[in-house]
Amino acid sequence: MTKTRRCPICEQGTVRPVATRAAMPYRHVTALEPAWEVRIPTCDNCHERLIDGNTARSLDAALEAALQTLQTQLVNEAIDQLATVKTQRQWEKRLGLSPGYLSRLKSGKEGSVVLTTLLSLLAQAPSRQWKQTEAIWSGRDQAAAEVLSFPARGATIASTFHFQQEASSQSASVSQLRDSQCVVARFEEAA
Amino acid sequence: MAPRYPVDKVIAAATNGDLDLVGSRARDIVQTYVEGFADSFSFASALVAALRLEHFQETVTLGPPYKGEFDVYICPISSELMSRYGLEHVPNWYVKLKLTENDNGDSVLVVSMHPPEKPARQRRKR
Repeated sequence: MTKTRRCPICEQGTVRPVATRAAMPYRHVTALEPAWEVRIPTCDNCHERLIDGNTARSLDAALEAALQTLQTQLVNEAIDQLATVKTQRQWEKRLGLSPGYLSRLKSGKEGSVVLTTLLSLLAQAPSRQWKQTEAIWSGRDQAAAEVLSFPARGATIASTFHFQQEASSQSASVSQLRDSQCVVARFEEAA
Repeated sequence: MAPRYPVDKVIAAATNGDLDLVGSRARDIVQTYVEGFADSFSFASALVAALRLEHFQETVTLGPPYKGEFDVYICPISSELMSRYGLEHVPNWYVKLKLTENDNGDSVLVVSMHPPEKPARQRRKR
């Protein structure tokens, strides 16, 4: 939009395109600065911004580029932190990722909000999380709640498990049921 | 009680893409539900184009900087819109708008677009 017009909001000012890199909410990010300046129709009196179709597309392009950069930066920081405890390959194996996947994430060739979030959470305490993930995937029938050292949460898991065990006459593995509960509990706890 | 702005003109402007999203309640909340600004704009255009007189709730005035009157609608979205944007869990949308003019003619200014935050008011019969 290059033309000016009277502001439909305050009915006093004039709306003109103003180049800005002001941070704004975008997708799951609370405040993201566009990768480059975007011309947004803005009132010179009330300073409100009007998002029309063209502006929306321009904003998406600049914000998507910024999001990719942010995601790659977060992934790199997290993987570097995780690598202080175990090798990338060891983490890949633990997380069920194919060989080289973390390198592809680092280079920005792959991207995943969920994985970026998980890696960032793991990187906050890599040594402890390595042990915790080991406990999650230990695959033993003895209540993993004990291993996970979350007594209150573990009690809930255990009671839920026993309820399911009693309620189900199917042949589902007890350890499968328990493990699925523990995985959910651990990620909720981490989140 | 009739809307301040003829709904057929509002629909026509939205169908032509003559629509602006203004303020956080029209621009930001919707991003919790759809991906990015372009989708927000497309969703807003489709939502406003689907307004019907029976969806009208009331006409209100707002505090500064907003001048003029705004019509409030609570609009159920179509199953097509629900599936396109994955909004099966949000069947109704609150929309506050006014009809303005730009160089192309009528244009819709949307200042609120989000799931209803309180029950719809009963429309008064004339």
